[in-house]
Amino acid sequence: MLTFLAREATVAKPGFNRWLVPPAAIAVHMCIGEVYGFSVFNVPLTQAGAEWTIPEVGWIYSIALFILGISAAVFGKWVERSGPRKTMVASCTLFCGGLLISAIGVQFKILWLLYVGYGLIGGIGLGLGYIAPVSTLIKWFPDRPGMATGMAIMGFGGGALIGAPLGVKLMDHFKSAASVGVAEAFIAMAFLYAVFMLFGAFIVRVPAAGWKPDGWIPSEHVKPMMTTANVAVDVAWRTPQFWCLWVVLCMNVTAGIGILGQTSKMCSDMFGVSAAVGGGFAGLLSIFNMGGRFVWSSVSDFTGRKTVYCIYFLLGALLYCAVPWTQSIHATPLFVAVTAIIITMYGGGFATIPAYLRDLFGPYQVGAIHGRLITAWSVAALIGPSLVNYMSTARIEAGVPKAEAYNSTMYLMAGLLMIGFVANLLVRAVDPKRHRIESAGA
Amino acid sequence: MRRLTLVIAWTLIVVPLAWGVFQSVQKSMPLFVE
Repeated sequence: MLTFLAREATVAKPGFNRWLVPPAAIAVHMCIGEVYGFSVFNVPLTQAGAEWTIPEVGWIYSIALFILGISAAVFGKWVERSGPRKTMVASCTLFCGGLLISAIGVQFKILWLLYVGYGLIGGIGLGLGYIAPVSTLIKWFPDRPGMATGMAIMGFGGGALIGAPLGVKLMDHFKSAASVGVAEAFIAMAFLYAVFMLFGAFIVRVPAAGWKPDGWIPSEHVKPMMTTANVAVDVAWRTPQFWCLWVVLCMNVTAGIGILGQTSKMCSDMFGVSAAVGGGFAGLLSIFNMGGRFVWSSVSDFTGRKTVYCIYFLLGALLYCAVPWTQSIHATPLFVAVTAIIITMYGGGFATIPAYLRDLFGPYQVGAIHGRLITAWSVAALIGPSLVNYMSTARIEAGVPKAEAYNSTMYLMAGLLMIGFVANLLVRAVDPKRHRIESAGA
Repeated sequence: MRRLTLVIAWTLIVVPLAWGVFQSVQKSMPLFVE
């Protein structure tokens, strides 16, 4: 069994079709992306007979996302060493095991079991599952790394689209006089997700050393921002390039997550629409969030990573500034269109960053470097929603009409994007002194 | 055989994703109706 999981066992034989690897990556991301839809369990959990409050159960999601970032940073090197299959199986065991422990927590009304199960153990599964497929795909698609990472990370966005309605349908199915159906839904999801994740682990392969796509000849024209060398993770994270990209990711995510977490309420407050329409708006944005990951990341293969981030930041800032204007002229369709484009770039920012890292640091330990960079996401997940909440509440308390309470937040988000823009402009090629000497073929 | 494996693998991914997108489109309908 251990041999089957080892990296060596996953090395592809000659003639292997590399298009079999994206489904493996998407299968894992599609499952762990369920974390984005976890909020559907919040209200049912408060009705599970244990007198839990919304803030108390809200911690489950926050812990899981925080641990995702930390575990990706801590276990990144192990992931590179162990290979994708072992990591995917570990991710599956932890994530699905976390769901089962949480089911026990719900059944016996022990809240800390949910914190430990879904939050801590499941969170580690999320971190491992997030980085392993991405670095594998980068190695399979040296000709189109942006498109490759876009496919995997699109799966994570898709996971939210599946996880939320699936959770609701399972709870409805298992609901009875004695149960709200959460524990049973967790168990069913654990088994369902395990099947998909193990399927991904089973079909995943890594390319043999020195493998290149048929007919692909690396460009002889040296692109300054695209290295042919490799930088080890322990060196990479000490470079200014790493920290510039950390700021780039943090600012892009902070701005997007601030809107994404409040979509429904914001739409209702700004345009006075019903809760159903606000919910519809949230549903629409999640589709754009998923699509943007693939589209923008693929575009970056042609424009270059630096250019595409300049577009995210400049166009994004412009669109954030346009949001108050759409409210002032009561143009709801225009508001929907503007925020939809903003959200595509939020998703695009997530999906393009691994390819940017690969350009600067090479493919050698790109998964581990990506893992450390994801801590920017954890920080953004704390800052973004708090900023929108705090600022809009403060404005309403200061007597500003509800419809206009979000204006200053939008300008602040535009400002954050400009910080990201400057950080992106500061990114330069890595000093050759930092390259690994034995980089060839690594 | 290789082609069949490829088709099965992609189908297993596309079907749940399409279901998720369909659910979101359904959820977003009130936005266009009201």
